[in-house]
Amino acid sequence: MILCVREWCRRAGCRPDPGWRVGGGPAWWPRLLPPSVLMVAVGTTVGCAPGEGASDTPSVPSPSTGAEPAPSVRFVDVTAETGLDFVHATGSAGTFPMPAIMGGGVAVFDADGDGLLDLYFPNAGREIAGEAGRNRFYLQRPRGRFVDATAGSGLDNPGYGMGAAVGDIDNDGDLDLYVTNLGADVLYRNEGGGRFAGVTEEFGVATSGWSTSAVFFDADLDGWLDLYVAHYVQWHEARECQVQGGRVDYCGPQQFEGEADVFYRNDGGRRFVDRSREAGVSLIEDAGLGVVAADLDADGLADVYVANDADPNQLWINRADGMFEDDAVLLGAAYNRFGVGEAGMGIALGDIDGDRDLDLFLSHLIEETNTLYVNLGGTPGATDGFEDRAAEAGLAAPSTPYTGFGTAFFDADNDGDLDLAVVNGAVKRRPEVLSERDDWFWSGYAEPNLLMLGDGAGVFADASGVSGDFGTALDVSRGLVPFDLEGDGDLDLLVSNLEGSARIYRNETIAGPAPAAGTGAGWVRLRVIDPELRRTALGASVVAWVDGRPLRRLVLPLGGYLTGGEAPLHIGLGDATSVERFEVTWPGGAVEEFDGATTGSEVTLFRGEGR
Amino acid sequence: MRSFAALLGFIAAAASAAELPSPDLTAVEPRVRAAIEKELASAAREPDSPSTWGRLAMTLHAHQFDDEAAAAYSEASRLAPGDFRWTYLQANVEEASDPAAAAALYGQAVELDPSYAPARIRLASSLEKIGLAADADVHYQQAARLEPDNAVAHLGLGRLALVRGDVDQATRHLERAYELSPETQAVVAMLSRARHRAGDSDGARRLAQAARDLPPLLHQRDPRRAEVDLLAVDSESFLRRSKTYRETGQLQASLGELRRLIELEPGNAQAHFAAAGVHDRMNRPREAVAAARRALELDPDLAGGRAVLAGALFKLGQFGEAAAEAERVLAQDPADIHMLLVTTMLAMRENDVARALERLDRAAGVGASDTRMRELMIQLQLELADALGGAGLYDDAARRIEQVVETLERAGAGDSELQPYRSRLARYRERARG
Repeated sequence: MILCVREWCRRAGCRPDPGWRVGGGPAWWPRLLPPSVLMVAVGTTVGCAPGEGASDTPSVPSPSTGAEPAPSVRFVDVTAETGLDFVHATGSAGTFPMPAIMGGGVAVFDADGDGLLDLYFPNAGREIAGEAGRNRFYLQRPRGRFVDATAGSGLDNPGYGMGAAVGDIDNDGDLDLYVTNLGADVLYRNEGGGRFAGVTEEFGVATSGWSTSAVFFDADLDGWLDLYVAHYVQWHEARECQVQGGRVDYCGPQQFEGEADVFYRNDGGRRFVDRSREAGVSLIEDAGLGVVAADLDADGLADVYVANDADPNQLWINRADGMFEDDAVLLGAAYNRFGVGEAGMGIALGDIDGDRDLDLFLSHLIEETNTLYVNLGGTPGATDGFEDRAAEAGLAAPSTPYTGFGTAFFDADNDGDLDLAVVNGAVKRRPEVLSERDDWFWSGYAEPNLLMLGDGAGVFADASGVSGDFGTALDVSRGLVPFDLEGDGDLDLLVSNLEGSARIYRNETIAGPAPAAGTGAGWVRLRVIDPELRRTALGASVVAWVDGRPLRRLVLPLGGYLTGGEAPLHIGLGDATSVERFEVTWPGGAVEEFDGATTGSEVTLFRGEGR
Repeated sequence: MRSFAALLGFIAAAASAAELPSPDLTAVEPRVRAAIEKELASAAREPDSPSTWGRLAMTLHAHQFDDEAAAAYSEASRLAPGDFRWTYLQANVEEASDPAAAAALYGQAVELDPSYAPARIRLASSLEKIGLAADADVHYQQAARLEPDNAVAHLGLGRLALVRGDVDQATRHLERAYELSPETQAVVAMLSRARHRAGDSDGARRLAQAARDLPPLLHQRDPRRAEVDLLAVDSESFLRRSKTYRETGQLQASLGELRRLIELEPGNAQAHFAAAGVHDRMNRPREAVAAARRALELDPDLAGGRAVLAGALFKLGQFGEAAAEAERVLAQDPADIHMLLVTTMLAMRENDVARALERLDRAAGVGASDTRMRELMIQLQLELADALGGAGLYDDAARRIEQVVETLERAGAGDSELQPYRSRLARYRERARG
């Protein structure tokens, strides 16, 4: 009951008096009381106002609340309207097999080349969960409607699905799909028209073990997309784990040996060659979950960052000679600020403070704080590294009651600043059950999501309580993808849930489909193409100059946690009526400048057509 | 009149007394249920006793019934407002889930007992978690004043100095923390960051590499909190305490926890397995073998059990059995680096150079997973190089030294560390040519 009140208060935007139990009963201070009032209140509970007493102890000031109180954003659950009826099922309620609590990813990509984003959901497989556990594939029809197109698509892999990665493996202009499983992974080549062919053996990617997140990227700048697959642990079904006085629950990763990740080099679009050993990535056997590939040391080459569960994270710096070197400890991105390896789940990547370098955000376990690794800059190839500034950014405290998984930086309100969404869901039964669904085994694992609004300078305000259905739904969430469902110029949110329905939250923050100039919510949508490669220029970096302010965005596959895909870049413009110019840094370092665009435009930047 | 006053007193007490917590004990271990029910009964009998409420709170806390523990601590504090313990331990409960609440409670606790350094440190880290670095710095300083040899305080001061960009001060505090606690991941990793920021990339890289293989947490002496942890009677808690003792070098205490657990649960395979590991660390191979065998009897698939057994058998001189166990492990996992090195040593013992080389090459291909394995692999490479060089097989000897250099380079070794091996490599190559 205690935490119910606290939870209610968190949603309502008030802040508990930390000393209430000493005082003998709950008392609540409204969030907007000035810090000095809160200080007096805290002091009063022990009968000692600031300045009284002989103690040399400084008073405990009020905690940082991040930015000013968040303006309202509004996300409405429109799943039923869209026709999306996917339900994730593991058939494991009450039996606690560890894979059941970790899966539930999603892929979002234009599978049939009609310009609309389609969906693919890995599921727990027919062998485990029967028909309810089938992987499903949905094609999007106009006006944001989805139809189940699994039958005949070739995508009905019966394995125990975890996540997916998307990329054009053969540079033929369409997007192919890699599905990660507990057991053998599967690679599908896009045959056009929403049909796929299994090419796992042909392409040499028959990885076994427990794969989680994966990402396509061009490691060696040869134009072909390579593949990095994070692996989790060597799970044994027989192991039973206990918590809280011996109650049985899902095991954590510490109970098992970790598994080495896998790096495949793409050999001319014909096959992949396992280079894990040569590249150095097989040296470390940790419990990998999230993965991103981007140039994190500004040397023009894509590096790989892996979020590990209860192990230090890896930052594989690309040494350009086929080798990667894990510099995560050296560069401050392995542990949290206290030097402790945490339960890393999902990863978001973006320039949150407008300094044109890339910052990393990781979601974590309940009672840990999510981590914001702020990039300290430096010179190209000789970065100063990262520093955990989650607390200073206002991202630490709101995350401690929940276990975060999927996460993404995106501009929720088109003001030009990156905001942050995190979807949550426990991995062990919560100390206090938040869901009121009595007949649902997963009630003890369901948690609300977080939506944090950024100020563009690296500080965030918690807007979860005023974000509509997104912040109030109680699910066991895993995957998260921001995408513009209806093409109306704002980013909606797709959430894949474990043991439950996937949900689409429509962004209704901004009224009207195409905001006119001066509404504070302008936008442009961008595609960045390398025509020679016939595909999106993954790894390119775009700076949109808006009112003299550089907004840096990356051309990367969708990611986070068990999530893959490709979607156009979305740039909020705020009050500006146009982008003055675009500056594109292509993979390898070449820079081109392109003309700007007016608000509401969709623009495609082709390599070689700029200045 | 007196009885009326007594009745009023009773009514007043009943109105202000807290309700007994009601933890859900349906699925917990019987030992835990019994321990909690005993304390609940005591609190019901003595509702005005702060120590009884405190003991109940500690028992709930020890078994992770956090909400119920917090309520019981709160009642203990209400009954004895001047007792530092209950406020401090209530803050402990809040620390993980609500750092702001914890910071306020720790603030009260240090006012009640300004001399207890662990409270200062926990207050400081809670303040850090909510973004109040400057206030945190003050409390770390006070903790360092109270206990100049407190590594956690110096780590905190070093970390905050690094965030401020004061690399010199950060380095001073982190060097001191490293002096006090050189075998802790958090300290070594943070010192590596400071060296990197100071431009000493070789030193930073060496420390970064070393940090990976160290135990993660810097355990601080906290007698008040230790009293809580010792009350936990579920099997996981015995194993956790044993692990903590092992990581801090208190091997006898580690073994003591496991013995208590084995007494309570003779069939607990994990306990026997952990005991085998501790005996191994204490260089008692006979006891390690017995414990590992018992663990495998109870659970033949126990992860790591057979590898521990093979290692202990080798130390005991039972080479045939060690080889058989090691091969069984390798049949399951051909990349088990520990077993590859054990079988290398077994082959060297039998003067089977070809087999030793094959196993060592396989081990080098897999790569060492931690410092201990790396050092063992290098030692074996050097011994084999000596043997090969002594037999005039200079090319083969050079190949061994090349692998040593590669291994060290991968571990981030600097030039000075590599130089002797490079010289030795040059000598072998020269002899091979001549």
